[in-house]
Amino acid sequence: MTKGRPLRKLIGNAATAAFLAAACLFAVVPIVWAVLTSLKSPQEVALYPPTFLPHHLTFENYLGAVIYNATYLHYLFNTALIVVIATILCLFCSAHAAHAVARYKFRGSSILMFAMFSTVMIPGVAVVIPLYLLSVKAGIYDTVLVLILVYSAWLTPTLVWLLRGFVIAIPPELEEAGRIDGYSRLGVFYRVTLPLLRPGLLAGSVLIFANIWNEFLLGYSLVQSETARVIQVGIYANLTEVGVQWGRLTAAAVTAMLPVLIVYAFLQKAFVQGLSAGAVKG
Amino acid sequence: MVVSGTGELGDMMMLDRPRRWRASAFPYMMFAPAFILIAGVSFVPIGYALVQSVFRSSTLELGHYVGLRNYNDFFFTRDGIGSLENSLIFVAGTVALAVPLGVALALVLNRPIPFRSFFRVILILPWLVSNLVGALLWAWIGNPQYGLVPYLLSTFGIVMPNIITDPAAAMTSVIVASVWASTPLVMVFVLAALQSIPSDITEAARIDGASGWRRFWRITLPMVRNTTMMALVLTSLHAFKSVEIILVMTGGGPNGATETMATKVFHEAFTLLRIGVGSAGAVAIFVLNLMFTMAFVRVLRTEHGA
Amino acid sequence: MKRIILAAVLSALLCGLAHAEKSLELWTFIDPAGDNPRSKALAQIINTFEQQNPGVKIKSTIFAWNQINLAFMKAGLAGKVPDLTMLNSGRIQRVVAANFLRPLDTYLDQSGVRSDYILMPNAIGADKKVYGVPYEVRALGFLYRSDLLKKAGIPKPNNLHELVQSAKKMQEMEGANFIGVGIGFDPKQDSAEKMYIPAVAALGGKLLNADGTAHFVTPEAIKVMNFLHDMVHKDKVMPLDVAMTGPDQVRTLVEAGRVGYYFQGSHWLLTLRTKVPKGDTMDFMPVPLLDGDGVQPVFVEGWNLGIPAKAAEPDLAWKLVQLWTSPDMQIMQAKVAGYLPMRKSVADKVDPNDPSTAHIKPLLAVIGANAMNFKWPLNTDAMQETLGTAITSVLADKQKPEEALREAEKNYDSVRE
Repeated sequence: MTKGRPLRKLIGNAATAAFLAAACLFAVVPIVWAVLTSLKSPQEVALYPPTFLPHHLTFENYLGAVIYNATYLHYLFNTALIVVIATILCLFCSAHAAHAVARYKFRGSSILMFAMFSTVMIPGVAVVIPLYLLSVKAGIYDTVLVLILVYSAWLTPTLVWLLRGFVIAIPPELEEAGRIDGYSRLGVFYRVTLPLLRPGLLAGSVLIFANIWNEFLLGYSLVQSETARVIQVGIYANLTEVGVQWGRLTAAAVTAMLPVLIVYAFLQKAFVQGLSAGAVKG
Repeated sequence: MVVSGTGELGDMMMLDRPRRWRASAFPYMMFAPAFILIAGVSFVPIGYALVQSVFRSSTLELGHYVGLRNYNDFFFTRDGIGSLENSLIFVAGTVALAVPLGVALALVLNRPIPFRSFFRVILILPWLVSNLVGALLWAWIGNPQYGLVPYLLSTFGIVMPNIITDPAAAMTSVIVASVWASTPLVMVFVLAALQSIPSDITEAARIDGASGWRRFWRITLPMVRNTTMMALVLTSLHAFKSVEIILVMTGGGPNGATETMATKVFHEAFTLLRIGVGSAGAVAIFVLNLMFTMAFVRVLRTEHGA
Repeated sequence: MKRIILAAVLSALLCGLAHAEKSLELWTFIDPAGDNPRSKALAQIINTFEQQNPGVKIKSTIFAWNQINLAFMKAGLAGKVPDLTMLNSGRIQRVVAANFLRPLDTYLDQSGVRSDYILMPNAIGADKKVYGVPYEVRALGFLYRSDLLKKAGIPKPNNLHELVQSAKKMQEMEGANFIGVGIGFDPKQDSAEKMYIPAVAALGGKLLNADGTAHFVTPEAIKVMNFLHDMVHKDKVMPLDVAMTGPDQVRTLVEAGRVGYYFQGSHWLLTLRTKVPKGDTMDFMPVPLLDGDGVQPVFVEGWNLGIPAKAAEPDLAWKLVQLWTSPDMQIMQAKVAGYLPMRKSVADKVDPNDPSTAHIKPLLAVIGANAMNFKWPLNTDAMQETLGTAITSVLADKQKPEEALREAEKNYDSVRE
């Protein structure tokens, strides 16, 4: 009856701990390996048997690929710029749309929603060439603008899904009170709804940031010149010229990871809270 | 479904014509920016891809009409069916591993264990690394000639199957990388859902005498069901579309063993410059995704008893 | 916050002002700021040009070498082209056929040096006009560890069987992780066909019919396949997983000092000499015959410089090309980067005693006598992929040579367009 309980609990705890440890190891090994490799010299990198800790710790990779590399820093800047503007654009469109579907039952709303979500099923490779042709016609090929537009559009469906739950959670009485005070519908949206959506907007920003920062295929296909290149393409293109230089590549990659890590670390709580508020209503 | 618009509806009835028209136009206008953006970036291009899939040219232009020949070439020449099989294996493998793993981790992280925040950050790291970089790292680690993992295993006397030459090992390696990249998001979604379960429900159940396992099965699991299913659908859609991981790790694998529909589309379109054939494959992926999602939603609805 | 924006705007304006001079846009896969010999050679050319033409700045955009062709195709269609671009000699025919390049005949005739240039067959369009000029030439063959041959007391091999034996010896000497022969046959990358095609040609076999359809199944082809298969399975000088990757991956192993014979172009000689572990010496030899002593037809190629049809500064671009292909610069490139010069008259001007350029004259002589004059079909990648797939399939024991080649024929004909 209760005899076996403590033992079972102990075994259960041990098993859980082992499981957690294994999962953490799995999650972390490639990244730790990347950091270690970035600190090794080119000769040491291809040695067999492979060395774990660098025998000769060197920062030459970071110096060469990142610090003294103006193009790399330029790529970081480009990506940051795209992220900021795309976040604003995407949140703008998504918040408005989420409000519409959450509060109003209008004709064709379910079809529109379905159509919107179906775009998530489109493989990136499918639309790359048409987007390339379209952007050429529109004159925005090879600019940061085309990436801003595409990323915003790609992330809007997920954001609408997320924010819709938030809007539903806001008591409609608050909005009606705003209407009684004489504000227009739009006014109510900006004055009442939007401020209350802040947690959701924060959570959404994290999603947008991570997705854009780590995107490769489109950044690679729609932008050519170095002026508008983004960071993942920079990691790829710049470092395949003399073959794969693992030391420099890992240095560039590890550095590229830092902004996302920092943003996530800061907004972690808001992110999870945001998802949970949206999730339960989804 | 919350229809908070009933008040609105009543309002509208009392308005005269122009105001009512404006009122009913409001949701459409709110929806418009998002819709225009998506229409331009997704609807138009997929429509173009559809058109492109029945044309053929040797440059990036449209070319001449060829009917269904591109579809035939994609599926029935050079082992196109094999790429479909590989897609299914890759997606199934990813989902079968990533979703249970993500759910399990979310359950563990939902409990008051020590250093919980630390673990949460560690376990989300794969999501913060781009697919490209992650794939490069896994290719590096598993490399038979100078990789870490084969070496470690060899010190234990285990000869790891060669991920470059062994088809099964190659497919396993890309699935591993894909699971690694997909699990964090599943974990975060499910964790969020778990945290939104009001604790008094579980507390009440415990007072009623329900054991831990029972509580989990009867109360916790149903409440995260929706989110888990959502995560499952998103993970599978993402895996179906995934190109970077396989391209970087195996390039299509030993003799096409890891060539999925997505990588085949990429290869046809960008290396062989057969845009029409590539588009045909891409349209097929889109349609398959649609069918899968619709079927899934239907299964969910019937199970729910709706 | 506002101040930061103001500063950013001001600095952007200043940068704009600073670039009031003329700029020439160059697309390259070699980073002039790199620290390897090829980068240094390019940097010198750029510097010399800028000195000779004050007020002109060269702006380089760097691409991965296997992506620059597609990038240019896309740019050509979009009209957003550079003034000068490097193009792979095996794939330039595509952009030529799409009319994205400017014909160079008028420039060539004006300068009067056309007959001295080694032009690549694929750079010549259907209208017989020249659309690209190489800035260097390379031969495909084996970069090998001459120090190990010396250590083993073996002379340079005269045919492929001797080569395999010497590779075996090297493996015995160096231990279990040493790879005798490293040829990357990955169908999705360049290499297989450049080793395979001359091997078949050397035996007298052909590849394509007169109408361009495939004729892969020949006794010569099967012989070559069997030889490659033996290298992996019987002689065990080439591990299967190495053979199934591409030349770039094999090079990582070369740089770690683990490969005896590496199939690659002669342009890598000087760079690899700087990268391999101390004490390793590398030399270049063309591929010897399979049957009998001697050298196979040498596969020759060279990256071309092309001026886009819609280039903003074509005359200035040609000036750069002229400098690049001038005897002085060609000699400099040979010395700094180990490139073979693309001008016939330069061969004699290169110092045969300088270790960096000692290989050039003899190699040019071999090429002069025995070049493989191969013109790629329109879809190079189709041929590459089908042949590479056949080879790797045979090596992996998935198919027998004849079966693999027959399937390759079928595939090629369906893909070639």
